[in-house]
Amino acid sequence: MRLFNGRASHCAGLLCGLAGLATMAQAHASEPASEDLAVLSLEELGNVPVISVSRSPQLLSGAAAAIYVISHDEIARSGATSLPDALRLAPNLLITQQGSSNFVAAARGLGGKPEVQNFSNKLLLLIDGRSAYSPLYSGIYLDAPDLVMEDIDRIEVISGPGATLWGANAVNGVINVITRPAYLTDGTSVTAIAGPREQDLSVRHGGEINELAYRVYAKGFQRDHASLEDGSSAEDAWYKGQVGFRMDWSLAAGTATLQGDAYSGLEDQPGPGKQAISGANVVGRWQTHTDRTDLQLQGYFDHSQRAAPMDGGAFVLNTFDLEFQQGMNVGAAQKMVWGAGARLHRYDIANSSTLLFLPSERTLQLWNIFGQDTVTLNPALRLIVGLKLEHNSFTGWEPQPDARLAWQVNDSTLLWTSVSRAARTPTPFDADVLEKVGSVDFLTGNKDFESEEVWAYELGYRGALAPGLSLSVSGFYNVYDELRTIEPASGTVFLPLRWDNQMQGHTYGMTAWAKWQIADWWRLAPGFSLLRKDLHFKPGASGLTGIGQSGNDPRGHALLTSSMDLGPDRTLDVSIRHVVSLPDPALPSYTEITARFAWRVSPAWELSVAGTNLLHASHLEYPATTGAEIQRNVVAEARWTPR
Amino acid sequence: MIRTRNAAQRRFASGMAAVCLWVGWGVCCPAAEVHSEDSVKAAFIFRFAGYVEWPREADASQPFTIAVMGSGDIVMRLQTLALNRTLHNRPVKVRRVSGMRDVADAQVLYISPQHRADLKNLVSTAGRKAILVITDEEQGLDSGSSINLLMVDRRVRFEVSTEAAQRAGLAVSSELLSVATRVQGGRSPQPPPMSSR
Repeated sequence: MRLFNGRASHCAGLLCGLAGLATMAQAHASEPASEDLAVLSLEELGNVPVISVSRSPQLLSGAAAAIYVISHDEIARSGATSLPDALRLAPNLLITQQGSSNFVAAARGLGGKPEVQNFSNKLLLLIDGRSAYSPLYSGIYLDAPDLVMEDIDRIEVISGPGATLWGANAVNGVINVITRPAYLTDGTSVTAIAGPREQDLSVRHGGEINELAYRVYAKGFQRDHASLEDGSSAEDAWYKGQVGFRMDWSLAAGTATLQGDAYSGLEDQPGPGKQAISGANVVGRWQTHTDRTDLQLQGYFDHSQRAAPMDGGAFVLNTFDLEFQQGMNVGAAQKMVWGAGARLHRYDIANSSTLLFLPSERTLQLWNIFGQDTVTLNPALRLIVGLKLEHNSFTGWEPQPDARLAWQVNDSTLLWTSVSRAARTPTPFDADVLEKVGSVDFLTGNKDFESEEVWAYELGYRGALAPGLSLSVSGFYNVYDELRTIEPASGTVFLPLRWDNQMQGHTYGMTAWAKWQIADWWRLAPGFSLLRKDLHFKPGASGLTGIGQSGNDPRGHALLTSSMDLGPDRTLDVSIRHVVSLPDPALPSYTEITARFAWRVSPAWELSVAGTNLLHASHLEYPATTGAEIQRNVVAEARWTPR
Repeated sequence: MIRTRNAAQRRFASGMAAVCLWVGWGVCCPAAEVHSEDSVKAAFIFRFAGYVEWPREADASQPFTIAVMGSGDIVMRLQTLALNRTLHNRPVKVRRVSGMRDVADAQVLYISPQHRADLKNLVSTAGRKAILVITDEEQGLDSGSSINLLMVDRRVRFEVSTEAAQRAGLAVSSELLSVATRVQGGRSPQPPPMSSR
């Protein structure tokens, strides 16, 4: 992928896994604690309306935000074998596969334009509270984080700012991947997947020793290369192995979790050698609940590294993170959450002859304090106000406020609106970089680079239209400022160029999705997103590389998923996605189909056949030569889960 | 840093300030809150135990054990409820179980809908012991459970089988029966409920 990759060798971008705010999902949830229920009589309990008939946690159902929750079942039925595959299930997210291992995620546009070194950097990815957003170049290396798919409990995809709870860079959205506690993954499970282009093997074993539940897993895969337009290999096949564990203790005083992963991967690249990626992390979390408060303390360490032998570029990054948060009821009508956190990034970059970071070794500090209050104004109306103050090594304090109003019109209708600010904070790639063409300085970082910022105004509806038919609609109007541009560093000569903040403007659009249980055995889930952009350069800006550098975004994309139970032990899932054309460089719109048929032949054995991108032998999701042709992929899968 | 770039944003900023003040005064009114299905079910499961009498009271130092087969969300919610509370004057322990061999010391067993396929087997195994078996399935009482949870009009309700309870050696209070949506086996007189509600 991007930085330190042969094909896009001096385009930038990096990997990694980093910091985050723990199970803020829980803090964000607007659902009251179960505690409140224990004081009710049986009769009163029977009259409490509940928000969902779903078996999966629906903590966010009452939340005033555009949230799509990808459930465990949806992931299992889709046949997704990697995190990017699973993320395609969210209609408010656009996943673009640019090569065998190169995936880009974006929400609400500004999804990057690699040709001019702009990468999708306004979306945060957290895995059990650990950030996978790179602090080196800003963006997500989607080839690094991986999981055993069946250990994922749910993925919450929030489009719109989430900075007040989750911190900087949650400008256009947040992806929260939440894995199952170990006591939900006991027993042994072996999954083997094989096809001409992909082979995966994952083994997981879980059990319980008194109050301790544990699981350990190992996973490995290889994926064939994508191809170039002439049909030749894009030389980007990849191989990866990963091991990990999770332990959950249920103690009288609370619950403790310790989890970790380690991975290593090789990615082919044109020319000699392979890009090597590796990393390891360990996360510890302590949660305790009392009558009136919830406490959570989380810390993690994350190590990642990446090296591309072709141009000699490499980095090593270590992240230390500590977060604390407390939630409490204040009187009858208020719920408060507050917390604080600190994070340290230590990195060491091996400069190549054309891409240098000066200094190449540095420690970045990040700390924050936040508070959010949910006030019940009357039985139907909730006001949620919050503020995060975050301090970073480049721009100092970043206030990220958020105000939301939720109106529960009736049992089945929620209307909400919000105003919030979020910032995409600078990274060494913005401030410290030096790119050379031969011996000439071509592009330099800008020590005064400002955070890119958004003020987002949102309006949404979520409700049940009829039994079995639910609908969510949200619209946004985003006002951006200080978007990154390229300007001549001095007024007199053209080179070197320098990063600057000379673009502003607005975007607007909407996302809608529905879930329609047509019959016991058949569910349809349509969804789409629309985007319009109206951005411009500030007076005096050079306009170099054009407005299109903000992102080569489609004006819309749509998804339709059909899920059928064909009898008690057979399922058929088909998903059609359509992505509207890209403007610059241009790419025609495309439509693709993913399908999976599964048959549980015995309690212990499930067999399935799955195919992705079935409509075409190969297709482009991003214009060549940045994008490679993604080929049709058909696999057979066997899963063994002995009792 | 925040820059108020236009009038709308300035208005928003001053509006936020006003809201913060107002929130600080703690204005407001009681909440009508919406709960998740699992949290309401967990509350029910926890409360049922107070309306049932077991044949022999075990050593009070032993925890009162609620076993859950299936859903992790309910386990977490029950564990929250169990903190700082007692049932039958005993501390409460909530355990997720994966098989029948693990339920011997439990007083209550909740079987989540995930296990609907072999519900009958599970219930008949558990039913031989003095365990209050709670199912969560349409026609769940047919499997032989004592209590079955139902969703009625977006609310959690329950039905009781006094026959099944008697088979397990359990006495169900009339108070519980009076709230049940349906009682299978008749509302014969039962001993009064006991202890900690």
